[in-house]
Amino acid sequence: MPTFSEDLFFSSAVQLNGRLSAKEFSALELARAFSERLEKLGPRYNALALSLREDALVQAKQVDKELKRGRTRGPLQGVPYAVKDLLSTARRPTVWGAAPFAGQVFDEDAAVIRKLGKNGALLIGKLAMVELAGGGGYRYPSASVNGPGLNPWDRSRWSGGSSSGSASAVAAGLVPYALGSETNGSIVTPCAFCGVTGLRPSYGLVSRSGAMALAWTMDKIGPIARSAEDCGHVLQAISGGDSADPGSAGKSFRFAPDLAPPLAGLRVGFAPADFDVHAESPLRAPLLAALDVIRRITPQLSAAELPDFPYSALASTIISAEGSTVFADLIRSGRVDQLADRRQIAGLRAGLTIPASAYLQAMRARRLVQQSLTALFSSFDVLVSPARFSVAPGLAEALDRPAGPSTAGTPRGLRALVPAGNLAGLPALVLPCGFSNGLPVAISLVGRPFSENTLLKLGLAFQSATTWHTRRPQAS
Amino acid sequence: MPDEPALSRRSLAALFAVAPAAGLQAQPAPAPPGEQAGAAQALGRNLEALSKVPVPRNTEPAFHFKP
Repeated sequence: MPTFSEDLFFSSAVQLNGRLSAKEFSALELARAFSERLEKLGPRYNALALSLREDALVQAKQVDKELKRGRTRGPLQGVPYAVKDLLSTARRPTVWGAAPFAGQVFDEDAAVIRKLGKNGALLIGKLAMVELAGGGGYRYPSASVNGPGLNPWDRSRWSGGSSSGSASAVAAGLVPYALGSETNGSIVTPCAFCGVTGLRPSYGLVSRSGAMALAWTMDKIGPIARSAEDCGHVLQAISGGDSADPGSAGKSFRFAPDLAPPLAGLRVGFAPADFDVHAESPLRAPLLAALDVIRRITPQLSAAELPDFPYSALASTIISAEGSTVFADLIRSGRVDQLADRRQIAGLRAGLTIPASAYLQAMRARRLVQQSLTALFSSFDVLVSPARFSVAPGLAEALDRPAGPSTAGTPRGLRALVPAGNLAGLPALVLPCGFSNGLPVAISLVGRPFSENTLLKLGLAFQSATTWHTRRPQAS
Repeated sequence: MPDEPALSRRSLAALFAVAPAAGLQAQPAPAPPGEQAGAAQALGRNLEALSKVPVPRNTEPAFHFKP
């Protein structure tokens, strides 16, 4: 087995596939090397839920045979990856990060895993997550059967949630890419905190068949990777209509940024207050520098503001009502008390008391949100904002504390873009853009439904002009 | 599927071996009454915020949600 340098573990999927094609090493050797690293270092970040090394090695041998015969299946062939433990894997435990579901086993792989398998990708493990994707609302980073996700840039900080292990594993070079999921920030937040690139797809673009449901009308599955380019390739592989997912839009995605509108003509909206007021002071310099890069790529930047809605209250009500219904048996049986976070337990119980009229009212207001954002996107092609307005919090910090100083009297800006975008099913691309006191800072690009190629085209240009996405922590 | 050979003791052991990593394993802890009251209050605040959204009478809920 060849000796793999540290550099290799921080290569992109596209780069690794190129080196496989050049026969620098075999898929078996690559899968074995990444598996060993994931098993060795995953626990250091509380990132590993389950190693699937043996299954991956069997698959890798098959890929090597195919490569030998000259059968190629695209840029993910022979490249290892891992998934959030919210996705089912046939005959292997799927725990959803939650003690009450320890030992749970399903018969089939999730649709996205089957699709990646058809592309020759090698699943080497399942990654830790916030219990039940945090649907009840949780107070502490420790809300997981795997313990708090530890940030590879500083293990005294949280990796973010709920796709905690997916983001930290990519950041630490334990896998080239991973799958995460987002209902209301669960890809955006850990990508921002861990300094990796993430893509939240439009609602309905990726099948959720075989994924834990949290909120049927808001759940999405997407890639967390080392670059916008890898995100595009992974999204192409996992997208597509699926009759097994009632939320499926029946659309597929072809990664073709060249076919997206020219960057020079893009109308990009941003809110000055996001960068000058809402972001915590130490983040402002890297965020403003990122905005300058965007301005050089797409000169048509102008001020934007979200319409006035209580986005967080709306999203919380919908997620709480749907999530508590999904887990009603767990709650009523009392097994919910086995969860790690007391706030989460209480939130799930409270969710069962939401009146039908309140849920319906939230869904009616959501319709207005959609209409208002559609109107906003008649003036803009892309909205850019800080992905998060602060860096990763410490492990003991309460996550439900009031966010920062009061911003009463300041412009709304795009501060609520995470709940707003999730309510409207909009795609988002998270791009690392610097550091504050050694911790990653990121911006987020949000576009119209199914405008992923536009976001990726801008993301590719941003990552051609910067190197933040290539930075890496001292993993080993 | 406990009789499935592929679901070996080793697989389960691997699962639980990584769980208490870093000595930060969470402990089951039922929500105390104060916590429950706090969650109910948060829910109440959300519903109050919702009630202030002026929704035209003929607005249908976003069922069969499509972006």
